[in-house]
Amino acid sequence: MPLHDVGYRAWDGAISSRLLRWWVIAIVGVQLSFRSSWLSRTLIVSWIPAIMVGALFFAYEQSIVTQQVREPIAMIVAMAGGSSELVETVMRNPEDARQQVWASLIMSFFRYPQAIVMLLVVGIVAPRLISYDLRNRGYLLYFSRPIRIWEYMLGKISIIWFFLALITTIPALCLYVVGVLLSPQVDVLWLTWDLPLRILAATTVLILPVASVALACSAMTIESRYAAFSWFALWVVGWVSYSVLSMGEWEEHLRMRGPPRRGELPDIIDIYSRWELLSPYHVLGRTQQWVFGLYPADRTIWPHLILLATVTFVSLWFVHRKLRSRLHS
Amino acid sequence: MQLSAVTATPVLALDGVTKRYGRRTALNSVSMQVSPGVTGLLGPNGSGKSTLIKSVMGLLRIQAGTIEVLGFKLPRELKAIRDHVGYLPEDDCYISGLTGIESVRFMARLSGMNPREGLRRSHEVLDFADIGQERYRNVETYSTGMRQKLKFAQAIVHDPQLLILDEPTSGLDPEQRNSMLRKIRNLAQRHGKSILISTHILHDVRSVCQQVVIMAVGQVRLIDSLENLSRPAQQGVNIAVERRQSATVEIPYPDAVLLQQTLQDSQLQSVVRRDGSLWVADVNDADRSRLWDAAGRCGVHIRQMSSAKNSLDEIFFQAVQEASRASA
Repeated sequence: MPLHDVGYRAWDGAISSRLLRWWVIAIVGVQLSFRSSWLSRTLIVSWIPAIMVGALFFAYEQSIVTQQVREPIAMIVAMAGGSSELVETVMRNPEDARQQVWASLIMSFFRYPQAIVMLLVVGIVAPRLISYDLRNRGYLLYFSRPIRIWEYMLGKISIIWFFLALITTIPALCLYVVGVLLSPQVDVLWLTWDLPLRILAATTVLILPVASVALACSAMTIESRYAAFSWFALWVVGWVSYSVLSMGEWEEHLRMRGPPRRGELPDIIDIYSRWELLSPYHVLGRTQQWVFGLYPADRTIWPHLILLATVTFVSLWFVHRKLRSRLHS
Repeated sequence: MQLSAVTATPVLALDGVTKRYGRRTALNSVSMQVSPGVTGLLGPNGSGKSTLIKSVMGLLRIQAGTIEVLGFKLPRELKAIRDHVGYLPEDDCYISGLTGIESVRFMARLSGMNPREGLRRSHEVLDFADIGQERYRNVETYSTGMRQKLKFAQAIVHDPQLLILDEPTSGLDPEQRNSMLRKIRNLAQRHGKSILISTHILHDVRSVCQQVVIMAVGQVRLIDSLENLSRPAQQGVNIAVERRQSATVEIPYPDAVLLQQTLQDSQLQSVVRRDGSLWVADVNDADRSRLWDAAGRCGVHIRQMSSAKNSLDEIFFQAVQEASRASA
């Protein structure tokens, strides 16, 4: 018995706008996800690459005033997928290449360490988002409130969005700010004003399809472990299929270019294989490359964009259909 | 029996509502109006009660007909309906990972309360629902009864005008069941809530409802006030007799049957009812003494004699049987 039992009392307080109820789903979902100690650890680890890229920003800005640093910086730019012209510009006059070098560094940050972390973070957060509601019939509680299916989906997607932003957008924007603060020139903001916008665009290109597919995996089953398995399987199978089918093209590429020279890496990552549409990792990587302005002008990005849009649409349609059929059964 | 009732502005108005699952018709052109107060929705399994409730909540899309809840039309004003209606689902349902207080607060916030007010109100309704310190435990550790109370707290947290309770006493022990029924009465009588209770338990309906809706094979077979239904179609008395002879499968109430046969000899019309009591038609003072004589002659002990009333059980079984016959 409570200390001060007032019995039932009427309530006539103010209520918030009906348009923002999805926000409540997102907030509660984020709070619940943070209870996983594995997620907290992964998030902490996910920021380590940002420190390393931050150090590279520092080194690059130093190379503008210190001649000796330019050679190692040029080497790193080449490793990050920079073209030979860009490497030459870095050696000659780093100020002219600043926009492109910064874009390359941030793109590499997105594409290599954060793509792996993204796989883990979404693999921890997403599988339970809908599957638990289906298993425990929590959807009946949601939909007895003034909420439509699309608002429920928006709330759930926002949870994934939040965590992906935490490991990609926010560190990338921090890196940009670090770069600006470390720069010895004041016109750096004018020269690189587009980068924050490119970061936001790259995040959107990454998050929309990834969150939609992750939700579809979660809606597919009432067992979250199967949802997690299908999420990881999708990436691994895509990667392996791409690698196996592209083997011949790699060999051809290496034969054409000859063995790598001293100090040059065999940049097999940058071979534009016709099989890369099979691998979600490569499709996303290429699209982000395009967003950062590093995609070759003579190649078309449309197949990648159409594929991502189709996957996003089909995944969302599947989740909507699954929820509707659950409600109607 | 009648298929329209009610006087005041209806809280629920259905007109020609039809819902089909593939080839099976779950609701067959259901039309009814439910007035404010506590209404019991009765029906055997598969009669369409839950489908009706889910249709009213906008969880199911109907194929034909119109539904109006508290004057709001479905599906156009679905959100307004859900703002003003509290729903306790029959299924065991919860949001995984949350504690009791967090679950109720979450529902409060989904209904539009701000975080602070939602928390205050959640504690208030959890007190009302008799959930003590357990509110700080994860809902996955709750017993069935606790989850039922939690669902009740979630249903009332936004102070709805209409409460739809699907099997509210299932999974509760007798003490908790009585407590739940007291709360339902309290909400209706002291706070003017309209409540629709779907249940199999006729005792629950008798103890809290003012009106009854009986459904069978996807149709509403009867709507009326409990008071009207309890009034017998023909005057008479109800007699309870002491059970002395052992019952058989063919004759479950031998004492009542013996008295009935003796009354027939005395020119008194009587019927053995389903509960073993005997209904004797049109009894005046002279008949009454003949009745006592007949009982004495056959050696049957009369334990209770009262003015005849229809029992809800009888009405329910009769309505369901009629529906089954009609559908066959």
